[in-house]
Amino acid sequence: MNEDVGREASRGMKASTEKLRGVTRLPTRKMSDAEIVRGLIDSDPRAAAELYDRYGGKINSKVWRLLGADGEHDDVVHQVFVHIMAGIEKLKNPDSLEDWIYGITVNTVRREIRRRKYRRILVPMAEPPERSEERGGPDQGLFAKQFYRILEGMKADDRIVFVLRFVEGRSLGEVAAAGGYSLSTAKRRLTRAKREFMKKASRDRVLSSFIEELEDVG
Amino acid sequence: MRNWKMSDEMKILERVGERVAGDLGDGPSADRREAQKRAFVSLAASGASRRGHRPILVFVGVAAAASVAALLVVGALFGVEPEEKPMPFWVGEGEEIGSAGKWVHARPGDEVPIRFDNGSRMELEEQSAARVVESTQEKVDVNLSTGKLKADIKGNGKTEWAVNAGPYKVSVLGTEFRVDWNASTSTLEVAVTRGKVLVQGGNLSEYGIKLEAGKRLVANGLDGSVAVEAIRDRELQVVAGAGAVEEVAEEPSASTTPRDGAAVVAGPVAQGRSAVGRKAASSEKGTPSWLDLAEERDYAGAVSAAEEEGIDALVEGLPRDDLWKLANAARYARRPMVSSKAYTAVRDRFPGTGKAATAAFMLGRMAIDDKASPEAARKWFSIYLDEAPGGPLAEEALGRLMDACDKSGRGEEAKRKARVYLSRYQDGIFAKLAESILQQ
Repeated sequence: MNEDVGREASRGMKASTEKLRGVTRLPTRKMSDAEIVRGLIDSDPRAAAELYDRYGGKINSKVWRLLGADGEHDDVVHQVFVHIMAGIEKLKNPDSLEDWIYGITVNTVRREIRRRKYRRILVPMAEPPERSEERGGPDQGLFAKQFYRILEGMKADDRIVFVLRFVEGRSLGEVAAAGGYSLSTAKRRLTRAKREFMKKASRDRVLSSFIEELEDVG
Repeated sequence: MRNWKMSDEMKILERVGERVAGDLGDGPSADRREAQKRAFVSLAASGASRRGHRPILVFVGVAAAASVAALLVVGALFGVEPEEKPMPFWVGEGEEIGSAGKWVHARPGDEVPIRFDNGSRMELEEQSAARVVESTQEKVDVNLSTGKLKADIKGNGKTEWAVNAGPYKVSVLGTEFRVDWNASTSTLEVAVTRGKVLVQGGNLSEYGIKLEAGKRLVANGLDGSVAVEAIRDRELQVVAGAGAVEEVAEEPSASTTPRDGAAVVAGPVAQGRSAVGRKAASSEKGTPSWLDLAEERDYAGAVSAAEEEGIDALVEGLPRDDLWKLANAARYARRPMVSSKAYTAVRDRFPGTGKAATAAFMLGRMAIDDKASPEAARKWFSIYLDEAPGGPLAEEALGRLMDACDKSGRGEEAKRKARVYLSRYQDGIFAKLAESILQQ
């Protein structure tokens, strides 16, 4: 971390902080990524709030889809933030903060999947989402549930590649970057995951009927 | 097993993925995200994770090194993380073993100590209720339902301590402090005698307020006021207990309302400083008005001064916010007749406003506390819920309405309210009462 950048960030924040007889008004202007990094190193709660506002939505979305609206979702997201705080001092280039955070998110989920597998704990899936209940379709919650049930049998990295590619809609290059794989490794994992998924989906009533409908439509 | 063509397979999987993404949405509800944010801000402010995130071998002796090393190899292979170790605690003078989630009540005249394994100690003052929600080496979470809790926390750099009171959270960074939560007035008071704490939630800024030793914060969720001020030496002795007084620099008290900008201090806090404030005000601008005295928190003096001016004239002529201050001052001064008159005037003169609804709630509280009239209370709480069904006091109004129905002999109505309460607030502060009413 460049010390000058940090000092500049600190000065900027101080200048915009208005003291009002004991009560501190906090700055409302947007912080740069470098200021956020410096602020987190200095244990500044404003930097944490800014980071959450900027990247919290995407972190949530990734964890939500990788684990499937999991009952322990909030705990896993918190773990992501714990890892962010633990590693923030080692982040050399604040400009790569976003990619770095998503890398940590994927790594945290990977660890979580492996941990569960090892402990053989079946974590009950939270009722898929408030949203599906709102929409009220009879099979909507079930569809996602069956989808993730199949994924539970996959290797952690195969599952991550599969979800990033098809649920998140990422290109193969983006998948490789997010997971920290080479392109060929990502491709190999995806091929294996696809094969496994299609095999199991054909035996599942909900998924296979959906797939058959797609075929009928062409 | 069916066979699909490769290109079809990609399209099919993309459609399956779209369907799953559509079903799942982007993540949890806004409430959960807000809680995540608070937890992260608290974590970042404590700096605990940067200091404490170390491999689990740090405290392990040489003799156990071989077996732990084997465990680590397995752990590394499978990404296993250490289990959270519990932090045992004991409740009461008899040191009964504490159980997470169990309510602790301090009856009138009683103080209930809670002693933690690491030497930290909390003391629940009389007529207070709290429960230790979680107690591990990583995190100790205590919910203060009502009343006062004094805490002396021994910081070890790895345990995160938090006291939750209503919509507020006091995160502890290794310190000695006291929390006073009055649910009926939605008033939080935090006084720190050693170290510092981070107070978040409620009407505070989303970043929270860091409070250092010798400072006190008073936040009122109803009128949005927030005040941070120095604790006077004399009060410090009361807050900290004998022998725990530290030197505190005297600072002028300060108050602000972040929402409307008008300077207000609200809350039933210690009144020892009122004589000083009154003298200063008198010397500068003659006899202080009831409003000056109320803002100095000399509530009894404020009501006396208001009576000299004429209560009837005041309640008929004061602007809404001042009328509200008069009502609150009278309530804090335990002058229910004056308070009731002022709250009623708020309702009569400013119908349809949020203050009018809150006045109904306050009148309900007073009907129970001061007049022992559950029937009147039932009426007022019902009015509050009609006028502000999603208001900040809705949970408490429903709980108190249920209680008032029960106390006024309306058993069936009480049960209906109890069922509604439990369906909405399963872990609410009146949940136990609701369950007991349903079992009658």
